[in-house]
Amino acid sequence: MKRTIELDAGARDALTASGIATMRQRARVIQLLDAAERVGIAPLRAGRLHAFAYLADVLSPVWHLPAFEGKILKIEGGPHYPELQREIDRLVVMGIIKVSEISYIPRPDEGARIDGLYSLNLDSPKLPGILSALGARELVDALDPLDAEVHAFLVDLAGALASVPDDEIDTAATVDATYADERIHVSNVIDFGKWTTDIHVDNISLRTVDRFRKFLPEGAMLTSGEKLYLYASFLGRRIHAG
Amino acid sequence: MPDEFSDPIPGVSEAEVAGAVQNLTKIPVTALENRERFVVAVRSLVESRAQSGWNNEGGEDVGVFLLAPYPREVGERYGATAVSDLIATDDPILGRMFFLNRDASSGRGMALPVAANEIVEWVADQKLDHLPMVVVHRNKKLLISRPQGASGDARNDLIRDKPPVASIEEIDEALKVSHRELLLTPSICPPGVWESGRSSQYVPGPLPEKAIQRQLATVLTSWFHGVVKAEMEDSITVGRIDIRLLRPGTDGKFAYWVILELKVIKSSHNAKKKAKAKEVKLVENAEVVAEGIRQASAFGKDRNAEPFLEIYDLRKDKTSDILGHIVVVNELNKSTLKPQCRVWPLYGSASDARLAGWP
Repeated sequence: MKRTIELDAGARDALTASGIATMRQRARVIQLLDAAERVGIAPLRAGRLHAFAYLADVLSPVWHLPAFEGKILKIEGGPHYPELQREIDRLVVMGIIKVSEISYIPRPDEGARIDGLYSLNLDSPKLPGILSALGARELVDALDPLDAEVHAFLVDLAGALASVPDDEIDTAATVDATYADERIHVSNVIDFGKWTTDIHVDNISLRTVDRFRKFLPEGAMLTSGEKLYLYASFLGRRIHAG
Repeated sequence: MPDEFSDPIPGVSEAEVAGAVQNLTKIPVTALENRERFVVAVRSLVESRAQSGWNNEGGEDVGVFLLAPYPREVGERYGATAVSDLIATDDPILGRMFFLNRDASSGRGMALPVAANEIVEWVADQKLDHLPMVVVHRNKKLLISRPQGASGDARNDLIRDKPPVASIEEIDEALKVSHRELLLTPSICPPGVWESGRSSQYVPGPLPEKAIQRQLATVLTSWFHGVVKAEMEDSITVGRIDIRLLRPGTDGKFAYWVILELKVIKSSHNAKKKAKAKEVKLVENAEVVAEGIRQASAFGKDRNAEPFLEIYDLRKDKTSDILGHIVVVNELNKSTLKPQCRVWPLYGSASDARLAGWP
């Protein structure tokens, strides 16, 4: 059951469409980092955090959840979400996220992308309340029960990715069946769930996950978690096949 | 919508998918609670080290593993450093303490903070005794797990220096160990097998089969991790299979290997405290066993698997041979696929077990 919160006039004014989008991005960053903390792979480099965000999007149908973003611009070097990075930076300023080892990564054309090691600031007094509200603690404390479901999915996915060597998590996103689809060229948008009418056609990662059942006897079932771990195994094999 | 099984997937080969599925017996057991999942994962890690001759371990004897909700947070308190993918690497695990995730794959590790015989006290002093804990003793080949934390009950498992094989003999051994170590008497039995406070009167819990099923599925999962996949319950047209075991075939596809049907025979029905427990007659127990034979046989045929019927005997008076009862004998004679039937005695008190000759 959803909880309702009484908002004062100022807070109501802040909840414009762009304000809500910002809050959703921040919530997503915090949930991703909490999942990474729980499976022991935090702190994460920016590239790995974006890779994790992308894989969470493309694999969310495995958990019967909607993708946060159903599309991504295919670029050299792997998935990158500018809006997500902007909110990561803001959360650093707000003291919710810690960053260390900051550096600049040159981009292929021009300019540079900021990089660093990101983790939750577990000393922040605000963090426990935020995590509770986002479903990362007890289900009854979640403002929206769906958030608890999203969080459980992210923890399982992070656990699956923890089976891929640490320095290969960002590579895992680039060999993902959807991202690596050669029919979509660099600098084009990959649509795996935004405008598509059938995700089973356009989300190739999901089709790959569904194909696992072909190798099991009739009636055998895979849990959503098992599907994620098998897909991580698929990615690991692709990385090493090279 | 493309055909799930036959349409080609752009850029993805069948061999890649088949290769990934081969890991099904090795991936974490997501159906278990985190505590049990952690114990299974640590056992798998430790035995893989033992089976490779404790490569890279030096002379240390003891390793400690704690399941931490936030491994970095607790690890940083003690200056522990990051560890990742302990299964794939040969980083030493002995002489060390780890704060890990539920798959025992990543987290933080450090040198043992105190002597091995002071670990449990140290963990309690640090207020970490709520964390599920596994202690490894290399020389004694012993794995002591405390899924409820350092202050909870301990369970001992042998560290096997040879990997398990998918054989009927190994299933027998796993069932024997689980019976002796985890079911025989009320103090080691999972909750739900006996009615609380009434085990000495031989009053079973409301759903003893469920409690035993869960325990056995956990044991078999742990025992055969990396070799066989154990699953609980499967609804098919002829009923529900309690436990099924799948193993990979030479063609790269998994197939059913064994199905286990569980039945409980008892002296009385469940009754809450002070209520009179209604007696269960011998013929009623025999009918339960006969039903188990029918189910195991039907499931075995349906799944093309070897059927087993495991009967847990919660009766106070165990003298009458249930498998010799005419109802059971007739059912076995009718059966075209006879399940292997075994009776496992469970006792309402430790003294009754001793009187029956159990150590």
